[in-house]
This record gives sequence, structure tokens and C-alpha cells, in this order.
Amino acid sequence: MGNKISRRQLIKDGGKTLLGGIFILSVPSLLRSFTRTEEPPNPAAAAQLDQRDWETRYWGFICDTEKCIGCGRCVVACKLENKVPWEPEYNRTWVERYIFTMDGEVFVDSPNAGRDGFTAEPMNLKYQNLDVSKSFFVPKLCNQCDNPPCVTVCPVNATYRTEDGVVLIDQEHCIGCRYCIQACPYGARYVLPEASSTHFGQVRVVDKCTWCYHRISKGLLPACVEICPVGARVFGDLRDPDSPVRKMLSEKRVYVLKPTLGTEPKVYYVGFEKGVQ
Amino acid sequence: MLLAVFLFVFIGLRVMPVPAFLEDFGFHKRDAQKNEQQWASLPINYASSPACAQCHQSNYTSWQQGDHRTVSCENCHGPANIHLEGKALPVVDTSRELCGTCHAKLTARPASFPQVDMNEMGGDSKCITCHNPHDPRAGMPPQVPHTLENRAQCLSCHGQHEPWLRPPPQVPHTLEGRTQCLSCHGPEVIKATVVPRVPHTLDGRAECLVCHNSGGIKPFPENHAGRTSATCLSCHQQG
Repeated sequence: MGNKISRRQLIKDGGKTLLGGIFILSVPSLLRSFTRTEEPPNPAAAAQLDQRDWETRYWGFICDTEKCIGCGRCVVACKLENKVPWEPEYNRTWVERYIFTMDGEVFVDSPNAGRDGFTAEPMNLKYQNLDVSKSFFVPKLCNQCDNPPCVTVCPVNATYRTEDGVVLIDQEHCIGCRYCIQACPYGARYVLPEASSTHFGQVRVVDKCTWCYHRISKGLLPACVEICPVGARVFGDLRDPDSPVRKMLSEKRVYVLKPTLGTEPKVYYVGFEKGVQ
Repeated sequence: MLLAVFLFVFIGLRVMPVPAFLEDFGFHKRDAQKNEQQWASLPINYASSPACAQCHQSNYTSWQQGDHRTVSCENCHGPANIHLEGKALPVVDTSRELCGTCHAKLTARPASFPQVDMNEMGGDSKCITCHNPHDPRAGMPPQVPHTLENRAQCLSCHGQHEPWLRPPPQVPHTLEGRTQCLSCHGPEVIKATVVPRVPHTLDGRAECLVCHNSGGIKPFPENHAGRTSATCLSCHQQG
């Protein structure tokens, strides 16, 4: 018991230790922050990639709920273009029908995710005797958020936001933990099932809408925008003042889904109604 | 003091190798550019409508002039790139169901969008037997090619009649339930006009022109000049 430490000594030593620990803890991050600022992005390598111009392109998307007729051709086009499994459980984009009744009730349905349209009899009988005040279709897809929660939670850093504003997944990197599926407030992500044939040969990894990255990086429109028969989906460059998206954003009043979550989505909705989630 | 040194060294050694960001280390290292390149180089299936114009010029032209010009070719014909590569003929979906996915009546559709009751329109026959899918209004009833002045009674010429030297075309369909020729065959302005109905009873009012002649209580419009009471009810129904 000769080594007994007095209370004063304990506080002194403890305080020194704490301060020293904090100092040491801060060293690596300090060093990193210095080295980080000195590392410039590699512009030459970026330019090689399809001659994409990082300075001008920043993609945006508009869904016009006043035009959408709920034909579901976008869902079909997306599945055929992107090898999304045909089963209605797996979707990069889908269409929801909102029905508001005179009593203030809200009904939402999406039979087969809208893949086969909304006209089959069994699905409409359910809504026959409603006193409808208003009803419309809402196309849904990945919002490619500016502040994406799915990216924040990924434990292996497999998903990230590109310079042109699209959230991509490195499917060779993804471990299929599904944390991002829980984190996404829009339900945009799904796990590729075992039996599916995918572009990269990976199954049991997470997949989601890329705004048809292979099409937009070649100057084409996403397949769903290309196929929409009524022009309810609009796509373009938010930094180009002449792009259809920018023109529409300046002409129409738009809204985003769940704005209070601070995810800053880049899919804007025309003809928004309170109650649409 | 010993404890302090121990903790100092331990925490130092423990913390130094652990970086604040893992993205540049080991499995966490991800090559964003390689991944973007992979996504960007995926095959394209939908070729967009102008690609079809190279070979199918006549259909393309009629499609461009018709009301379906906003509906891209691949909506009905399927993705075209496999056809452009010469690997397959495009699948053409001509079923009623495909037309119905857009045109079947649904409450949720915008009211201005053309919709029909699929149970009543056309029976079981395919929509494309009457409607040209590339130019859907091309198959619609023919419009009256002549002026309508003093020609209120279509059937006096277009009904059953004795052989003429140059006979006007006869009505090719049944007249049952079709008393208003112009609601289908008139020009757009007339089709859109709703003919006013007779708001009162007809008891003791066989002679319409007593009240509705020019100078009467409620005179007929100027373009009705020369018409007699006999013809009023063929357009203006009661109720």
C-alpha cells in the first residue's frame, strides 16, 4: 500500500493524461486535414471519362403529377433497360396512385409497382365506392439527394455521390448489409435477388436508380424519360440555363418529397399535394 | 505517474494507426472513377424514335403528324437497339390491353387526357382495327366536306334514295341512336358545341316558330334562318 495516490495527485495525473490523449487523438486528423487541402482533384483523369464536363453538369429531374397518366411504361422501360428483375418487388422506379376522399382519407396503391398499369379490374374494384375528391399518380425513383443518408451510413464506403450529382453504388464493393435500405427515406433501394442476371454479375448486393448513368453520360435521356408518352418526366442539367429542367423549375411551382429530413432531393414534383410522402 | 505514462502511450499507439476516414485503406478503398466508368459503359437498349426514321420513313412521318407524336416508338414496339443491331425483330404489342394502359377510364388520370370505357368501346375487337396507332385520329369518322348552310337534314341526301347521276355518299352505318350526324362528322367547332335542349314541355307547343321566330320572345340564332318548325326537334331534344 506504499504507492497510495492522493486525491490531488490523481486529479493532476488524470488531467495531464486527458489533455495528452486529446492532443494525440487530434494529430492524425490534423495531419489529414493538411494533406487533404494540398491534394488537388485529378482533372486529367476526370476528363478522360467520356469527356464529361464536371464544371457544367449537375443533373436534375422533374416529375409532373398533373400530366402522369399512370400507364407504367416507365417502370417497364426501366426494367428492360437496366436488367432490373421483372418481379414487382424489385424496382428502380415505380408509380403510386393517390386517392383523396371527401372525408379527408388518403388511399395509396401501387399494384405491381405500376408495371402493368392501373386498369386491371380487380385492383380498381377496391376503390369503386369511394367519394373521391381528387386523385392522381405520383412517379417515384431515387431522389439522388445532395445530402444522401444512404451514403452516410454505408460501412464499407461502397456508395457515394458523383461530381455530377448522381448517387452510385460500387456493387463489387457492396457487402449487402442493407443498412442503406434502412436509411433511405424514399424506399429507393433494394437487394438484387439470388436468381437475377445483373450487369456486373453481382447478386445479394444493393441496387437502385442511377438516372440511367450509361445513357446520360452519353448525352441521352434516362429510359423512363425517353419512354414517357405524356412528358410527365423531365430530365436535364441544373447548371445549364437552357435545359428543360431549369426552364420548368423557373416556370412551375415545385416541391420535393419529405423536405424536412434535410436530404435535399434533386427530384422535383410539379402539382404537389399535402399528404404525398 | 506510471498510470499516466501507460495511458498516454497506450492511447497514443491505439489512436495513431486508426485514420479518421477509412476510404483510402484496404477494402474500404474504392475507385470511384473506375466504378463510374463501369456504370457509364453499360449497354443501351432504348434507341429513341429518330433511330427508327432511318428505315421506316413513311410510318415515322405519319406518326410525327398524328396525336401520338409524343408517344415514342418504343412504347409499343419495345426497345429498338437489339433490332438495330440486326439481332431480332421488334415485338409489336397490338392488344387492347396495351391501349388500355393509357386510355382506359381512370379517376386518377388528368381529365383532359382522352379516356374511354374499355367495356363499351369497340367490343372485343382490337383498337387498331379502327384507329391507326401511328395517327389515331386518321381513322375517325369523316368530316362534312361542304358548307352546312340550309342543309340541316343530312339524311335527305345521305339517306336511302333513288339512284342519282352522281350520288352523295350514303350513310354506311346504322342510324339507331345516331340522330346527331354532326356530333361526329362536323368540324371541330361544331363537335365541341353542345346543342341546347328544349327546357319546357311540348304540350300545345307544336309550332316552335310562334315563339322562336326572328322577332319572337326568344328568337333562333341567325344561322337558323329558313328552317321550319318541322326540323327543330331533330337536334333540340326535350329535357
